[in-house]
Amino acid sequence: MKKVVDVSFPVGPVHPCWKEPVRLKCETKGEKVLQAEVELGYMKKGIERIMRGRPWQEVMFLAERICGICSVIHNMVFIEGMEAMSGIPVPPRAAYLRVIANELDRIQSHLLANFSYCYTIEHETLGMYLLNVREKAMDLLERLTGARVNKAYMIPGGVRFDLQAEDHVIISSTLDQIEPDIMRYTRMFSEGPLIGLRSRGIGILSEVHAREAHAVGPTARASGIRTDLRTQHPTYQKIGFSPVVRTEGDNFARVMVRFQEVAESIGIIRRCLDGLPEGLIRSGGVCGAGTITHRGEAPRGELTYYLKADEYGRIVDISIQTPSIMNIEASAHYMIIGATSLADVTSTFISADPCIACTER
Amino acid sequence: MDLLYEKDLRPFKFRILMSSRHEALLRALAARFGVSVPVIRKRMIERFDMQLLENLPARYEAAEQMSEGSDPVDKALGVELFTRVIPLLDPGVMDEIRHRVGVLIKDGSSVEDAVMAGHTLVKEALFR
Repeated sequence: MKKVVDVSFPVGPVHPCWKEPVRLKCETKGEKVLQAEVELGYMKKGIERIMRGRPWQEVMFLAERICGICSVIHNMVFIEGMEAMSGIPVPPRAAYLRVIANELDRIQSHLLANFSYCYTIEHETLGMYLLNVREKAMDLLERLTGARVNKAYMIPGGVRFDLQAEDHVIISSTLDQIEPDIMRYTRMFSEGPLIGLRSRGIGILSEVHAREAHAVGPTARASGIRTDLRTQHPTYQKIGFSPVVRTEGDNFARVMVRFQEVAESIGIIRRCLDGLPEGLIRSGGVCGAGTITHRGEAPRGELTYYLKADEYGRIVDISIQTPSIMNIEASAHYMIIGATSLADVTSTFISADPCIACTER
Repeated sequence: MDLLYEKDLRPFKFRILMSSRHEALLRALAARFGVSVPVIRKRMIERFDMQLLENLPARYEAAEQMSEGSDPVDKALGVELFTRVIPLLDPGVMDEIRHRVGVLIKDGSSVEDAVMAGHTLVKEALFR
């Protein structure tokens, strides 16, 4: 970092507000942040390197271990990429079940992100309420997939478990319980005067800067960019879906986008349950050779897998671009710059829902 | 005094730039300026933090989409590309180069020749 003044304010690598280790070096003048630099390398897994040369059956399990919070979408994008490369069809029922799993994962991820933000601005009460609701979403994921974190639910040509009639009822009734709670907590967040003081007009990311850093997901949508890869996904197109977009670009907008997306996800799951087609959940197929770039909308934004496989389905080359790479960069180089209080550095950084496990892969 | 967390980050940065997507980007930039990949890599390691290095391929892709419809001279020189997207040059230096290219065109040089001259200036500014 090129020094302008000689005061450096390091945040991390271990910080009570960080979920994972990362070091943020801020150069400050008084309390004003002039520039910031991100230092990674505290939890590098080298997972892309481990994946190379392995059969898809092993890589599938490695893919979801990139991130414990959004493991479903890593599983989904990798499997959909292999299917597209090998021409493997997916039965309609399995496609709907995939969407249900993905949206439940988005709900729990967004609630965890908003909990982190509330915790960072010292509003632990609301944070704990959110974790309580998240637990119900996690229970539903466990009911559907059989696991809470690493589920390996999606396989080429379908999913591993079907939804039983009893599960259908339990998911519907739990969503009926969650929805009013989410509405109440959203109102608490949007109308809380102290929350507003810590969130409105803080950490602004303009649309131009968001485009420059290629910000994605709720971070981009809170800055007025209408981008959501779910709109291009065939199953989501059938179900019907509209992205949540706000224009304020501040911490408040980013948290509110996630709250509104939780409500949107509940609606998507309900429509899936209502229109769930009958039939098989696995069609079968053989993964073959090819090269593909496949994208999907993770809870944090655009997730891209660059895959190259040989005729036996072995992964010859793989490169993974996770949404946190772009969003952390936007956060450190645009949102934090100009912060007039050091207390806003942590809250602004957390408002972008940074995932270091994804970034370091 | 040795500070616990103050490390030499160059090996980490080097590893980031070794991914296949970064390699493709570095090769494209090296071909553009007629220099070797290690020269570009060294310049980036010196100038960028780890997060910007991680994000370079995404930034480059976004810039390719955004540059459609922009001024052809600016696009050929990489005015936005090298000051905002991959900020290897200070905006003041790029403004000066753009101004000199504008003067050349005004004085009767063809756009191609002026851009070539500007391209040489960008290369000099980047690798001096």
